[in-house]
Amino acid sequence: MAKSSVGQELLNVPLPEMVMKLGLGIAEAQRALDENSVETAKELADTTIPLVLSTVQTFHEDGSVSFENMPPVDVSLLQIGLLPTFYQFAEATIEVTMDIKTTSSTDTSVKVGAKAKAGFGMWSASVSVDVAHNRKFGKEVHGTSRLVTRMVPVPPPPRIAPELVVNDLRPTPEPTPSPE
Amino acid sequence: MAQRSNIARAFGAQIRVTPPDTGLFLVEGRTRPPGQIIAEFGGQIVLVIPGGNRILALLPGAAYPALLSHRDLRHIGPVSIDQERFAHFMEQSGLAR
Repeated sequence: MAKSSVGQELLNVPLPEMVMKLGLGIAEAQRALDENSVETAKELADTTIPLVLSTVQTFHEDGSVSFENMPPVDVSLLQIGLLPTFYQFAEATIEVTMDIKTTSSTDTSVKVGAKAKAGFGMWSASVSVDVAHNRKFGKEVHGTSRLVTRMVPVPPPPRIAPELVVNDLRPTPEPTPSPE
Repeated sequence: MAQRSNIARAFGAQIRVTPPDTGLFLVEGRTRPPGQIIAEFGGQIVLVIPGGNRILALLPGAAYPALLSHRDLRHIGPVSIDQERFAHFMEQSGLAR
């Protein structure tokens, strides 16, 4: 009769398969997260808003002041500093808990019987013994597993945002006339 | 927040996802700006981007997984602000003065 030990039960836990499937699951989830972040980056790059980047303030000879907005410029949300958030799986834990209970019981029963016959100067006797020996094995195995992953936001790839080069060609503001 | 998948149901497993409290999201509606949807999920509109159906909104993290599969949304994705670049832009545009 094959009786697996507690140690064998522990060895039977498909840990390599669990690790492999957890790894594949994380890789799949990471890919989906990255795809969504890349899609968000595209949206941010394609979404432009017209912004007036400069206003010219002019003090006229007659003392009046006028403001003139420069033509609006379309800038993308990526350009103004909105970046997609990238997430990364930082930690993965597999916990396997097993509760193994083994029982064995032995039942032995003995039946003794005797028979005797006599007649016409002859007799016979017999004794029979019946021994039944039962040995029972029982085993209960309960197992639970727990998979925990932790995700953290990470900085986006350094080149995802366009390099910002500023050429400030605005006219020098006219000096404020000092009150005299 | 608990989610149930076919595999989880088959194994009687409980899957719990703990999202961040609040985050900034770019939300795009399919046919119209998704302001109403954002309000329904307890969000707050930060910027309605003109000329489209896109809105920048603060949303509870728990709303993100639910909104990912919302039929009236074309896209939702988490967004963060590059403080340095944003401050530089504000400075250059005169909005910070």
